[in-house]
Amino acid sequence: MKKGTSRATRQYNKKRCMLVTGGLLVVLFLLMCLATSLGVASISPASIGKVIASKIPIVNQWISADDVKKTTYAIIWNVRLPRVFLSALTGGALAIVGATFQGIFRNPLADPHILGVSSGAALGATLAMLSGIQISLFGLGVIGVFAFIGAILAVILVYGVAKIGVGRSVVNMLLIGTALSTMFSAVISLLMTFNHDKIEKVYMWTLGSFSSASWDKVRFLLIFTLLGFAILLCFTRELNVILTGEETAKTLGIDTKKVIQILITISSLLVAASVSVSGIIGFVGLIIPHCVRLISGPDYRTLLPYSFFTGAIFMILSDTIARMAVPPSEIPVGIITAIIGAPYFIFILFYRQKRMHMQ
Amino acid sequence: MKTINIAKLSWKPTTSDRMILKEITCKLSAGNFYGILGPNGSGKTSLMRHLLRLLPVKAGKIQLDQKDITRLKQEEFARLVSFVPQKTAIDAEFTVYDIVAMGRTPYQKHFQGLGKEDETIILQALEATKCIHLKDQYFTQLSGGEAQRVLVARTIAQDTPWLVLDEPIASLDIKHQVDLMDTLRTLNREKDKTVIAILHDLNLAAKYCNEIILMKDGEIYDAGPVEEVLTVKNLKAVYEIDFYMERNSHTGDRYFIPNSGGV
Repeated sequence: MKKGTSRATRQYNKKRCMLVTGGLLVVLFLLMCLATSLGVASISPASIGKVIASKIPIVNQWISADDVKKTTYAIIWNVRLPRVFLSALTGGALAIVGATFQGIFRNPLADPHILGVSSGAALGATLAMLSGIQISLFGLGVIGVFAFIGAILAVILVYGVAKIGVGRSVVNMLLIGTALSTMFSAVISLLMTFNHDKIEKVYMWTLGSFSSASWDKVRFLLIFTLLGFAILLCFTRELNVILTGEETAKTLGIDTKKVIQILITISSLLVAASVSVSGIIGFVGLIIPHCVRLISGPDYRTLLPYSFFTGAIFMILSDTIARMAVPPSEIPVGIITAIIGAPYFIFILFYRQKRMHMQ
Repeated sequence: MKTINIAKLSWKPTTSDRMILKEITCKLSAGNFYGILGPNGSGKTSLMRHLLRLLPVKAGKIQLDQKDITRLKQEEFARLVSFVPQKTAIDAEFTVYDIVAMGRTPYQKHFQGLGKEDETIILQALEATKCIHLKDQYFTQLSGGEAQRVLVARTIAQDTPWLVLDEPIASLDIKHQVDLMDTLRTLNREKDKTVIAILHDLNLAAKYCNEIILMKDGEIYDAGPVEEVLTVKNLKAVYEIDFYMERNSHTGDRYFIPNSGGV
């Protein structure tokens, strides 16, 4: 009969939410420093601190990075820091989109790639690799630009087709997304059969990697992520109510059609931006929100911020393993996220069920 | 005078040729306790879903206080009419408090949390439905009766003049049926709420409702004060089985009993 007390801790509490978010932010920061110092060339935390400080206005009047070796400076500033930032942003973005999609589709299997965004991006990237065109926009290379356009066109197509059909339910959209997604993949395979020499390049791209990270890419993704995250945070109450049923949400005064449209648009833009800088990284968007939900409950007021930072932390961990495991070569990060993510997810699932039974 | 006016409301689902609602016309006045009765497939649920704006009005008109309901914003409408569904498939682990707090949704702005006033209203709603002790439990782990009471608490928190319920007592045991009907009667009489409930239990309807809408084949067969509409003659015609009536000599309550073949 002590169930009442242990349950009350899941009640939303603004102060605790702030505290946990702050804690995650500290962990994220420490991990970012650690990940930057780890690598084939080991780098002392002191030089990382100096390099970062020398880039911050005002602070750089007192601290300079002059005594840091040129090569070390280049590794920190041009290679590792952008990489760490890019993986954090990608992990965070995918996690909050996963959390949002699972809510609006009320389907635990929904992940950021479910609406065909990612396979649209992959098709775009494939076309770019085959065409040999050279352009660059917003700091993205030709592959990134094509991937971004492919992703956006894919969502518009899915949305358009779903709108024609009767019912226009979200389930419809899910099915059409899956169908078109499969079709895009088939087109990629078709293109590959005629271009054997590019198979490896395309395949590796679809597994995702941060090896080509740059500050331009970080800036690009940062803008989308900050805006997207901020907008999604404005809809936490609507997301909570929609989670209890779309009709219930309507009778509670939520214009569900409009809200879902906004959420899908924002989420799709977020996925498109992250996929175009890092390729298709699976699993993060699916499991991070579930893990967070299992521990702190379904309330979006905590789910979104916790998922964002947990996703970022998880992605940095995965990427660090991806580049350290078999030096000097790299494993695509998408492989790592699945290999360490899946068992951990299953562990949490069982652990929680066991705890529920014991109560 | 606050009213809901339904005029010539017709509806045919796109996937079917059968008219589910045939030119329904009726007027609901504030302050009453309405029971909507009728056999399965008579159009009760469709009528209710139109009333709740869950189905678009395609032919005919529904006016709430002389305003066309399709013109109202979603949140305006949610401050006038609230709904207790028959069954809820909430699988997310929200606490009872969270669920009842959602009743305050139509009054909240973006980013604005629950105010002191909201919290008082939520706790009062939990008290009124005898759910206060369930406050911190997960909604998913409640029994059918408890869940139904919590949903009624949510509509109390929503604080609307009109309350619509879809078979609220269908899956409850007799004690919880009576408890819930008592709560609704209290809301109707003391808080001035107009209750519109789809019911299947003729005797509870006879006891608690003061107005009955009797439906058959997509039409209103008869509507009016309970004493006039709930009669053996009407019930025979609508349900197509034999009934007889008994009257409790102490309370005057009427009981309708289906008269099956042999007896």
